[in-house]
Amino acid sequence: MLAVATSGGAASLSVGSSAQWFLVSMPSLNQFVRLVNETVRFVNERVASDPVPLLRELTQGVGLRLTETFGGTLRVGLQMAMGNVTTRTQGAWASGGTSHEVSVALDAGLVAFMAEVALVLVPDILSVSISAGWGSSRLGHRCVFPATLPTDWSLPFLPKAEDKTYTASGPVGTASVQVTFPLGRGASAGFEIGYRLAPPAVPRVGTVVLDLNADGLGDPVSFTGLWLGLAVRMEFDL
Amino acid sequence: MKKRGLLLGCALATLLLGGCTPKFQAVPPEALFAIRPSSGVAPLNVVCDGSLSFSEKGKLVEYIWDFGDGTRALGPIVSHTYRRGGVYRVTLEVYDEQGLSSRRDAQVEVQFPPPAPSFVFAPWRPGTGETIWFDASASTSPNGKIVEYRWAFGNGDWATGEKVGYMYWYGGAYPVTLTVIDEAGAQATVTQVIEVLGGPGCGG
Repeated sequence: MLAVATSGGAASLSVGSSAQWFLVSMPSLNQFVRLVNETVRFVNERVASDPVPLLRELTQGVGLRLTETFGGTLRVGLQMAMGNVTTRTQGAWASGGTSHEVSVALDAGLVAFMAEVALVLVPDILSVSISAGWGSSRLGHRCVFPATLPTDWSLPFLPKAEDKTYTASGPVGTASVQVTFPLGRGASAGFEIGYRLAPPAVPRVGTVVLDLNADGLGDPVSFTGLWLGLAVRMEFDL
Repeated sequence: MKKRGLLLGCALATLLLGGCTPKFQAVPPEALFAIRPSSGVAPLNVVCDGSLSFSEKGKLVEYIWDFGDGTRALGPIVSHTYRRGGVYRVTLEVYDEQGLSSRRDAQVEVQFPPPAPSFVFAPWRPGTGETIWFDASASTSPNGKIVEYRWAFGNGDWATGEKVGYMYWYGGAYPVTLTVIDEAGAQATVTQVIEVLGGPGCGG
């Protein structure tokens, strides 16, 4: 393994980090977001008070990636990645002298540990890498919603009031391309583009599965998607 | 060179596999509706607004309502009148352009209208110790037959039956209450005050 790791050039230790902006596709959670928004919009139109803001769909997030690799042209190492996607709304409907508080927040996060293999295509400038490992995702659901709406209409679906954090875990893989520019003394900085593959998993709390839209089916959470990052790397000769 | 090709191949495979995950999964539409009122006394007219339903991909092409009493309707906004009391399950099923569907239901509680109790008694001005005949046969109910008649004579005594006889031992004004219960379980009461003269009545 060491022979592979150090083949094709002088061995070095590289430590890098990147701040990421990534895209995610979470159809089940966004279905819930739209359900909440339709409900909120319906009540906003019928209550003479300040409207409650709508939730933003979960489409993008921010994250951090830390890597440590050894080798020459072909490098092996470890990677830790974190990401977070959040949406929230807060407000209140005032009706008949009563305030009906609304507060809904979804907070999805991922922490993954992976083994990484990188190939330096152009020394100090261009490299590609793939990684595979295990990740843990969590989904925090904090919701305060009136059980009875301040209108004479009733809706069969209302977001359930809860404050829970659901968790799931599963395999995670990434592929990325890094373009960096030497800054001198082993330091370089640049940008990266990558793709993360994290198969959808349904988070749980004990035996309770995440089912926000109350359709009897679990709501999978996945951090699969493209990312763009700003990377900084330090390289030390061994 | 071979290694580089292998690495790039793996990267490409990852990207392609990634593209097949949830992003392109078919997401069914969401049936969501509002209802007004969700409870009341029959006949109860209920308005159902299914325009809150939505589809992630494409628009909704069909709204099918089942009112739980054997009737159905089509369209985003419909109304329906429940003629009889009971607990009904209203179901909306929506279909999108891709043929995907989803459903959601809500409960409507319709109370039976109350019966109309009514009674007459004779003699009109009874005396103590004189039998008074009470007759509730004029009572009616829109829900079917009346199955129970309960009488309270205003002095703690009571009786049951469509027609009953009763005598008071002391003169005075007594509120006589009739409660009727129909076969649907709906009930209603009516009260009349009877003046019982201090001595025996004149009719007997």
